[in-house]
Order: sequence, then structure tokens, then C-alpha cells
Amino acid sequence: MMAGGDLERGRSYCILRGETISGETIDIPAINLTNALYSRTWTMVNATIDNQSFKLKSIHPQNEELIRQFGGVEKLPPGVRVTDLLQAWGDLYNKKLPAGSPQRLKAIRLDMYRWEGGRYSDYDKFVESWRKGL
Amino acid sequence: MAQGIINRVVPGSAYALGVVRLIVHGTFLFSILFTSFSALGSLPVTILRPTGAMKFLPWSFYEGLQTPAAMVNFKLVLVLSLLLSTGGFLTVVTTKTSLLLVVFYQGLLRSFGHFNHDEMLAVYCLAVLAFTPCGDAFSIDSRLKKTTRPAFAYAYPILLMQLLVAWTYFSSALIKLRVAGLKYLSTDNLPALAIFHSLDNLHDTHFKLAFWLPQVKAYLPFAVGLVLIWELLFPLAVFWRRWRWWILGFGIVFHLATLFFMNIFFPHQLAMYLIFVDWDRWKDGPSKEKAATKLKIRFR
Repeated sequence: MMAGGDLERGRSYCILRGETISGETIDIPAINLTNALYSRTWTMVNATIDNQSFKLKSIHPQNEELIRQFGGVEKLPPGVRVTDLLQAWGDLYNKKLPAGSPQRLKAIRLDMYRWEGGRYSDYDKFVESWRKGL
Repeated sequence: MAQGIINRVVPGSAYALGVVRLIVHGTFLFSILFTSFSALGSLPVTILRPTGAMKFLPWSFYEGLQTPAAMVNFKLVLVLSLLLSTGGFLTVVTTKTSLLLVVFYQGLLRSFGHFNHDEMLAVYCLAVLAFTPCGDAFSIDSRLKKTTRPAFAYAYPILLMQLLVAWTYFSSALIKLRVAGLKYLSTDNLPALAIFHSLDNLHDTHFKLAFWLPQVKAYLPFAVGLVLIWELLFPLAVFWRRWRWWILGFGIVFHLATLFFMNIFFPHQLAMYLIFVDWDRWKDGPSKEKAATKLKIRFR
């Protein structure tokens, strides 16, 4: 915010979506799932995609193990922990609905798009998606 | 002389400081009551990035805390402390425990997300209140035991909190000018920023007014410049009552505009505007306030 906006700079952003048992794809506002993180959800997601919890001085033992499995931090795929976050969000969403509800999610996903910048159009170039079956 | 100036620009009563304690602690109490801590405790600990002093705590501590049950217990302790400090019971102790618990909670939130500054101003005010006699009136403590001090002891903390509010805005303008310089007044600054904050569904609101801004972008440098001037002039709200309500009124409009155009809102910071109200004038109810205003008009 301090540097202001720059039209020439491209930016990526994410949409949280759910696939219901009835076959619909719905947008899920993350604030309804974890309202403690108001004003911060998007930065938490960006940090998770950027594997920032693997770049600390003191790394969580489970993350250290994952680094060993992949053979180094630089070899981790982007958002290696995004599916864990999606699992938590999916469970929170389904917990709010009755067991037999067709609105319950069978999968939850995070779709990443990019606005290349330069002009005020073409905001949604698809980049990649993370999906977690529930 | 300094005491005289302070007593002239801010209310200097235990009552006014007590009301401010209720506002600041009550703001956190209200927001935490409506926050789901069990949902927060469901998030995986492996995405946590402990920040600042939070780095000194071992992972085993976060493993224990980051569960729905443990977070609900944490909320109970936090709510109890805030209830007592808001009501002004054992104020000397509870204002400090509330400060510590809120700082820890804010640190935990920042370990998941970014350094959001909405709550920071209110946290600074909690720190001021923790070390000042804010329980001498308008509190349960004052019902049990009367304590009186010089007016300066009550006026100084209020002035300090007002200065903190003013500094938040003043420094915000300075840093914008330092980081971006005059580029901050470019026609694309606001539309590009506002559109970026309106594209995802991870922000708390999903207003789409930002997409209208490119149509009027030629006029936006004037709006951005006006906001910069307002931020630079904010300290006037502390010392000149005549300017105060215009500056605070503009602030309300500004924060509503960031909500509708950028999906960014600062509710805690807005609540701190109430520190500028002269609570002494409202002590005996609005009827006295009206009478005082009538008298002033008559003798003008």
C-alpha cells in the first residue's frame, strides 16, 4: 500500500472454490471459515504458496522431513502445504452442514489466476490449481 | 505550563480515562467474542511462521496450542481478562494481563498472515492504559475504593493516545512519500491497487467498485493528494477542537471508501477515534451538554 499500485506490474491472486456432492462448483469466502484471520487470509495463502514456513531459521520437524524427502527447499513444489490448509478449510465448511446435505463438499480447491497488468482488462489468466478431495 | 496546556486540550478527569479504558478494552472484547478460535485452531501448524518474539517459543508449544480445544481455552482466558479490564475490576492487574494476552494473540495471527496494522493502534493504547490509573473512575474498582490524583495523571495518557492516533496517519503519509515519492500521485496508483484487492475471494468483502475507477482515473490524483494532506494535517485534531470533527469525519469517509473500493477496512482503528471525544462534557448526560452549549451561545 505504501508504494501504491503499479499498472505495469503483474499480480497473481487466488479464488477458493468447493465442489459439492450435488455436482456444483461454488465460491467459498474464506472469511466465513476462519474469521480470526480477517484482513490476513490472502497473505496467509500467498505465504503458503511461497513455502515460506520452509524458509525459517527454526523449521517445524514435519517440514524438515518434507525438505529431506524432496532433497532441498529449492526442490519443493510451490504450495507444498496448500493441501493441508484446504483439508482444514474443507472440514470446517462441511462441519457446518448436516451429514446428508448435498451442499457438503466432496473436494475443495484453490485456483490461482494472474492479471498481467499493463491494461485494465484480461484479469483472469489461469495459472494453476491445488485440489483436495474430502 | 506543560500541565496547563495538556489540561486545556484533553479532558483531565479519572472519569474520561475510565471511559477510554472501557472503549479500548471493550473493542478487543467485542471483536474476540465474535471470533471463532476453534476454527483458528484447526489450521495446520506447519504453515505457521512465528514472527518477532514468537520465534523464541518451541514448536512443541505451538503443537499444543494449535488445536481447536486449546484455542477455545485460550479464548476463555482472553475473554475473562478483557471482561475484567473492560469493567475495571482489579484494573492494575487485569489491564496488564489483557495487554499480554492480546499481544500474544496478535503475534499468533501475524505468524499466519502479514503485519496488518488495523489493530496495532489499539494495542499501543492497551499498553498506555496498562501503566496509567485508568481504573480510578468508571470502574468496579472505584466503587470499592476511591482514589484521587492530580488532573494531569488522567489527562496525560489521553493526550498520549490521541498523539498515537495522529502519528499513525501522519507517519503513513510520510512513508508513502518516502517510498513512492510523487509517483504516489500517478493516475494508475489507486485503480491498480484497488482492482488487485478486488480480484480474489480471500479478502473479507467482495465489493467490485474498484473496476469503475479506471473510467475516472484522471481525477484520482486529486483524491489521493487530498488523502495525503488529510493524513499530514491529522495532528491538528489533537490541539484544535475546531478542526477535530472535520478531520475525524474525513477519516470515517476515508475508511468507508477503502472498504468499498479496496475491500480493506480498519474497524479497530476507527473505534480509537472515540478517544477524541471530550467525555467530561458527557459525564452528567446529554442534557447538561445541551445546556452548556445553550449557555455558550447566549454569552458569545
